[in-house]
Amino acid sequence: MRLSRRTLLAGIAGAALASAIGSGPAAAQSWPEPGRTITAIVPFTAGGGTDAFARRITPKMSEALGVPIEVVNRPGASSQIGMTELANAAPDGYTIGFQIFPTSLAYLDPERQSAYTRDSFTPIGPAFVVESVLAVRTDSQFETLGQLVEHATANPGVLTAATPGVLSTGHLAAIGFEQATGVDFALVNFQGGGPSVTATLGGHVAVGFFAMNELLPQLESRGGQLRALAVLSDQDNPYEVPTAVSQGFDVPSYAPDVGIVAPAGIPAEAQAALSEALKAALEDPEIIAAAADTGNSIGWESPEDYTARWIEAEERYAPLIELAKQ
Amino acid sequence: MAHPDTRDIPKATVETLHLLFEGILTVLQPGNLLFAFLGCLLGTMIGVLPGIGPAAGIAILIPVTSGMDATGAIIMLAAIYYGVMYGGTITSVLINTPGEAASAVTCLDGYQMAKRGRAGVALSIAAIGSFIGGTFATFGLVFLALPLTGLALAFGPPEIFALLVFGLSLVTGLASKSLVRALIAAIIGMLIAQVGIDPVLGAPRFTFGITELLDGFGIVPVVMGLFGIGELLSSVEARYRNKPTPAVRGLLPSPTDFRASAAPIARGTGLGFVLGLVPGIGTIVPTFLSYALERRLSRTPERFGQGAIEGVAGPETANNASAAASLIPLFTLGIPGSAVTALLLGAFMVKGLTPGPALFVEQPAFVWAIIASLLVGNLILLVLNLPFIPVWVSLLRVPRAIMLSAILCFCILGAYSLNNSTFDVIVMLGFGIVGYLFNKLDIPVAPLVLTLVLTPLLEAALRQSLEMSVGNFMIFVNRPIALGFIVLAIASIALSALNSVRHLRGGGSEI
Repeated sequence: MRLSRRTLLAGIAGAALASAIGSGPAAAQSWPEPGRTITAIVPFTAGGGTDAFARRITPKMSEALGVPIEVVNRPGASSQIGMTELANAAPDGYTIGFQIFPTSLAYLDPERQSAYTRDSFTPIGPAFVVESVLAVRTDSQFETLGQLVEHATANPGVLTAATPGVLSTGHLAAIGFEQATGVDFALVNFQGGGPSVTATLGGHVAVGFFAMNELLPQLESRGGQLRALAVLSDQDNPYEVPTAVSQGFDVPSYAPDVGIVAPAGIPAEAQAALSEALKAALEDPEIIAAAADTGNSIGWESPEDYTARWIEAEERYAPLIELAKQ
Repeated sequence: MAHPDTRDIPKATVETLHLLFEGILTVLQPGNLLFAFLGCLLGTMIGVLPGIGPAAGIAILIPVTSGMDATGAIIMLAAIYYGVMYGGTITSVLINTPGEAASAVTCLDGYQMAKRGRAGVALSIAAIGSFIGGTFATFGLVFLALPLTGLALAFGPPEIFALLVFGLSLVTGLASKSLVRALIAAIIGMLIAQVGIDPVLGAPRFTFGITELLDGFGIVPVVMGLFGIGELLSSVEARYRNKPTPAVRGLLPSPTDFRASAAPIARGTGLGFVLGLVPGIGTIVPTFLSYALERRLSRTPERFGQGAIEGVAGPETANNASAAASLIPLFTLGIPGSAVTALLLGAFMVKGLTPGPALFVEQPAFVWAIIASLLVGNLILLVLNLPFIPVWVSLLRVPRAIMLSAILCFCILGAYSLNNSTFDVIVMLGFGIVGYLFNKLDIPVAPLVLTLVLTPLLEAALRQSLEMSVGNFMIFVNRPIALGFIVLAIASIALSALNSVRHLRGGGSEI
C-alpha cells in the first residue's frame, strides 16, 4: 500500500486529482522526501481502541511532516504479526508502528519465538495511555464489583470473561484481577478489542476486560448497552467509573500504554522529525479534546524517556507474562 | 436499558422516510453528486486493476478526500467501495482474473460466458444484480438497522463457527463433476490456511523461518494465481489447438436470461444481506456460498462452470448486498465488520464523527445523507457501467499475444503493489502453476479458495467457543442458532452423499 500504487493510481486518476493528492505544507527538512507516504502499522483489528486513536493522531502527524500517513491494520497473535512486519520493514522511517505495553512485550516469553526484541526498534515516543475497565451488559445481574466477585468466588471457573487477545493488556489485567481477588474466570481470548466488545454486547460472555477508549461509546451513560463496574487504576477518571480500590479490592493498575516505534537503524533525522511530528500532534488542541472525549490520556516524551519507560514496563510485566502461560 | 431516542427510530417509519428524503436531497446537491460519480468512476478503475481491492482502493484515496467536508468525503469513499466491487467483476469475466477477491467466484461462469461470446450479458447481469442487491440491502439498512443490530450481536463465536461449518458443507456445490476432486481441493486449501502465526496463541506454524509466511498466504495473490495465471498458462497451450475466438453474441441479457437470473438475484440479496450483518465474515464468503447455493438448487447443476448465468447473477448480487449490510454494525455499534468498513470508520473519525449507538441521534443529517448516497451511488454505477460494457467487451478482440502479455504485466504489477513485495509476486506465480496443474487434473480451484478464506475464521471461532464452554463441545448444540446451522450442515452433507450414491448407481459419474 505504498508508493507504487499511489503513483499508479495518481496517473489513472488524472491531473485534476493528482494535484489534490500531493497537497499539504511543503516539507523544508531533508526527511521525509516530498511525495513519499509513511505507513503506520496498527498491529490490531480496525475498530479497536489503538486503531481508533492512531487514526486520529496520524493525520496531525501527517500535517506536521507534509507527507501522507497511511494506517494499515496487521492484526493477529496479540500484535506479534504486525510487530514482526514492522521490525522487518526497511529502516528508512517510512514505516512506523504502534505498540502497546504490555502486549508487545510478549517477546519476553521465549515460547513465542518472537523475531524481535526491544533492540529491533527505534523508539519515537509515547502516544497515549488508557485505563483498563471491567464491564458487563446493562441487563447483567451484577451492579457492583462486589456482587461480581462474590458470585465468581462461589462459582469458580464458570463466569466467562472476554479479553482482547492472549497477552493483551486485558488478558494480563484479568489475570492480575484473578490473582488479587482470588476468583477464577473462564477467559475467552478474542482477536482485538472490537470483537471482544461485540461479544460482550451480544451477551456471549458474562464480563469483559476492556480498554476505556474501546468501551466509552458503548457505556450506559453514553446511550450504550454496557455498564462499567470498575476501573483497574489507583486514580479517579473523568467518566465517573469507580476504581476497584475504592470498592475495597486491592487490584494493581493495568493501563495499556501505546507508543510509536520504527524499525531499528532509521536515520537520526527521521527519528527526530517523527518525534517532533508526534509532539505537534499531541499538543494539538483537537487531539487533546479528542483524547479526553475518547478515554485516552496523552503526554509527549522524548525518545530517550520513552526507552526508559519501555525498560520499566519490561521489568513490571515479565512476572505476569510468566503467569499468563499457565 | 431504556434508550428511547435510538429505539424509536425504526418504528417511526414516516419520520424515517422524511429523513431519507432529506438525505437524498443532500446527495443530489451538485457537489455531492459529483463526488458520488467520481467515486464510482475511480472505484471501477481500481476494481479493474487486478490485485487492488476495495480496502486498498479506499486507503489510497482517503487523502484525496481530506480537504472535503465530512458528507462529501464519506459519499465519495462509499462510492469507491461500490465501484471497486463492480469493477472487479469486469476482469473476472473478460480474462478470468478477479480484480478483487470477492469477484473470484464470478470467474467460474462469467469467464465461460465470455468464451461463448456472452461477456456482455454476464457484465450486464452482474451490474443489474449488483444494483438490486445493493439497493435492497440499503433499504434494509434504512428500515431495519437497529433491530438487525440485535441479530448481528446474536452471532457469538459458536454461532459463527456453526455458520462457517454450514458454509464448508456447501463446498460440494463447487464440485464440477467429481466430489472427491472438490474435497481434495478443499483440503489443500485448509492446509494452506494453516501457514502463519497461530491466531490464538501466537506460535508460528509451517513458516520454515520465512518471515513473509508469518502472515500466511495472502488471499489476493493466491486467487490471482489460481485463476488468472492458471488460465493464462492453459490458454498459451491452447493456441496451438487453433480455437477461434467466438463472435460476440448480444450485449444485453435476453428475457430468458432475466427469467433465469431473477431467483438467484433474490436469493443473493437475502444471503448477502444476512452474511453482511455478521461481523468478520467479509465479502468473499457470501459470494462463494451464493454460488454453491445456486448450484445446489439448480435443476441443471451440470451447466455450472459452463457459463450458467445463475452462477454470475447470484454471487454478484450477494457481494453488493453484503457490502451494504456490513455498514449496519458500523453505523449502529461503531464496530467495523471488514477492512473496508474499518477504513470508513477511520474516515468518520478523522471528520470528528464517532459511529456508535449515539450517531443516529446526534448526526441524523449526516447519517441519512450517507445512506441516501448508497442508493444514488448504486444508480450511478448502473448508469455508468451499462454503456461501457461494449467497450469492455471489445477488449476481447485484442490479439491474443498482446492480451496475454498485458494480463501477465497487470497481474505482476497488481501482486507487487499489494505490499510492495516480490514475495507476493512469487506466491501468485507459484499458485498460477498450481492452478494450471489443477486445470490439467480437472480439480476445481474454487473449493481451495473457499476453504482458504473460511479456515482461519473457523479456527478462531472454534477455539473461542471452547474457551467459552471450558472445553465442552455441547456449546454448539445448546445454542439454538448454532444448532440450526449444524443441522443444516448435516442435512447438506447427507443430501450430497445421497446424490453421489445415486450417481454411482447410475454409473453416470465418477465419484
